Amino acid sequence: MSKNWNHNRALEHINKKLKDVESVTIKDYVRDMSLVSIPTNVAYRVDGVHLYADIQNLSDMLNITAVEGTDCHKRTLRFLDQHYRAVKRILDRVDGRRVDFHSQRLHALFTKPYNSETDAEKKRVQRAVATAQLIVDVLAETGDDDQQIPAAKVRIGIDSGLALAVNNGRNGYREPLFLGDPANHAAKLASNNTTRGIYLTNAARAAVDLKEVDAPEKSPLSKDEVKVCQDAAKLDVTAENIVEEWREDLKENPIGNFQFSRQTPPLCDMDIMALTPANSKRQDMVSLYADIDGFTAYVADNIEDNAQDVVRTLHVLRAEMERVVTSDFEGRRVRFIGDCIQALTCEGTAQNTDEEKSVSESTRLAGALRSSFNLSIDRLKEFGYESGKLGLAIGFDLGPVSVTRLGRHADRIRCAIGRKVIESENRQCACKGDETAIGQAAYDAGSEAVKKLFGTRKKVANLDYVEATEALADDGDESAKNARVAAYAGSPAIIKSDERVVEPYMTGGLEEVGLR
Amino acid sequence: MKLPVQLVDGRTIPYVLELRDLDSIVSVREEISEHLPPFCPERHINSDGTFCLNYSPVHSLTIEDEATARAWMETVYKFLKLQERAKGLRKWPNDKAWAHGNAARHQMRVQAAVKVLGKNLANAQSSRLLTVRRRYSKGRAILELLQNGECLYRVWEATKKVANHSRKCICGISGRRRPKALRKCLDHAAQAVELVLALYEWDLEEKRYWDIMQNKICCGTCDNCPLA
Repeated sequence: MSKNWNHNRALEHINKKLKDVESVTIKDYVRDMSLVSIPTNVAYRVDGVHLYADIQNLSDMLNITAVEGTDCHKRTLRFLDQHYRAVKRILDRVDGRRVDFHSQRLHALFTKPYNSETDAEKKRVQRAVATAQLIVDVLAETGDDDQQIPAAKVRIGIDSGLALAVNNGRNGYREPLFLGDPANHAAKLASNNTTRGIYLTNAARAAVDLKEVDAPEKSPLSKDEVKVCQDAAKLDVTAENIVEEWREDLKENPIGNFQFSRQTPPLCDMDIMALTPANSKRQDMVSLYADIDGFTAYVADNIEDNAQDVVRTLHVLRAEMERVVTSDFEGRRVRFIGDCIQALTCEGTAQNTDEEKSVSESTRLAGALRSSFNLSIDRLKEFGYESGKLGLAIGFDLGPVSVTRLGRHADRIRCAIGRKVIESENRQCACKGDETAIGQAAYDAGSEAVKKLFGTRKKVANLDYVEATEALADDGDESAKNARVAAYAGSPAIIKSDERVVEPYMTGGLEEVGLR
Repeated sequence: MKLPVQLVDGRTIPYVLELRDLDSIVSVREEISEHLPPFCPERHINSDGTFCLNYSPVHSLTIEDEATARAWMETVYKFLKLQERAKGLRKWPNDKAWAHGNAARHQMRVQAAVKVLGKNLANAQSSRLLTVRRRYSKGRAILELLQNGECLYRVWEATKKVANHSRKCICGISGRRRPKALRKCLDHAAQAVELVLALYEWDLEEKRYWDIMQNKICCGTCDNCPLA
């Protein structure tokens, strides 16, 4: 049976979520406050340094074999696992906080020393830079020649400033999420270019008395500048220590052999928290990214005076997006990455993925996400909450995806990898706030109706649920036709009218041009 | 007439319509412009608010009996569902619509020509991928048929002849390993000329239509509307 999105069902859920955040409290983050399990209607203003480290050769690992089989996935997962462990060990030793590890991207935070100390910001940036160099040095050593695992090539971005910490979590995922310029600017610096090195925003440069530069993304710190920070930070750990401890740890807690099995669709039944290397999932599926466009600017505009509405907007939008993915379309949310949801869907059986149906249903899921997004924004406005000028950019693609959890026991991080996971994110990044894009593989596997809908640009604007379902159904897509017939069950006259081809005309000008 | 239109997402749009019968041709519009703009050429709503449901030389919607009444009703229902899609998309949702004003006559000619010239051209035309460019060659006006920017063939405007008759035919339906030359392939040379001229005149008529409409007020519901 095809999945469906219903306006009233969405409205009811959005209203419920609005009620959760009727009253929102914003607190300043101070010494010894916990950032774990922040209540839904509370946010902390956190003055800290954000560090993003991008492992640049993840794609090389995924493309190491011509065919995207289990070998390249196993090697990539092992590569990530080794590096996750090494980075976790570093952060534990330098009093940094790992916020998330999303495939090739690490986000860490430095809140210490607190602002009660003199030159606190300067010291935090120095600590972050010293840690960044430690990460670079350690990851250069943590390859494994025996297992054909190369050392990681890393680019690091650092920014400092005020961010808003909110609950990132849904269902047992209680890590904080940081909203605002510093997290975003650091992420952009890390992923901006191909050149390796440590890059600071001008705000972070000013904190450590470095000159402002015109293009921070093209101005890596020099060895001397890093050395100054290292000397000041006095980290009581060296790359050699970490690598040694890491090798010991690997001996005591070896990375398990990766073993894959299929997850019987629907993917909402996949218990990610139960996954381990020996119990990983792998099959052809659709990877989808939906990112709230304009959110960084919106947070920047409102973080000082109207942070409550930022919390409300984010809570409502993310809860509703999750409901659409999980409940309406029986997919699986992998994680929220800031204002972006990463999701997986699959149609078929325990043995096979029905590729055409998976693409059709994902197209309609993308439409449903946009419908829910639009409805949420309408409701927020009706309640008088400031929601800025936000949009939703969606990208998806189809291909082999492995899902597992990496890292040490009791500290595992969920991970979904595959060439098309990266491609789906790239497709999403190429979209404006009203666009939905499809990857080449999904396009090729899609029905003729899907191909027609996305056209040669493989991108379509304003695709909501009604449009996705009606356009696909009108052009003969079986999944959409089933969904439409189900929506009008008990109304045969409407079903009959849907079969009619309407070719309207426009006579309005005829009188004026004298043709009548 | 009250007509609640149910959408596929469960919403219902409560339309109240005004119907007028003139010799079995029933015109219809919203009683009060509430859900639709009062006038929008892109959404096929005439300046008096009536819906332009069909192009009568091709498809009649005259009501003569129960079956034709049913067909009319189903058309109106589907038309109103398409309107909701147009509202969301900010453009007409599909390519199944006739060109404006007198341009529809040339669209009809185009459709007849591509039907003869094979499936590939017919598909390209229905997806609106065919365009005509007018330029000068050796001091004479020449019309080029383009698909995605690539020239398929050229027609001399004055003589109404394909510029290179001995080129292979564009139909791809001769069934031979080597396609026939255009001039030897049935009446395809004449149809190729007809296609280019009809597309060119369609374009001119569309421009003429919008020139005449330029003083009308745009409803603002469609992007890329020439009135905007």
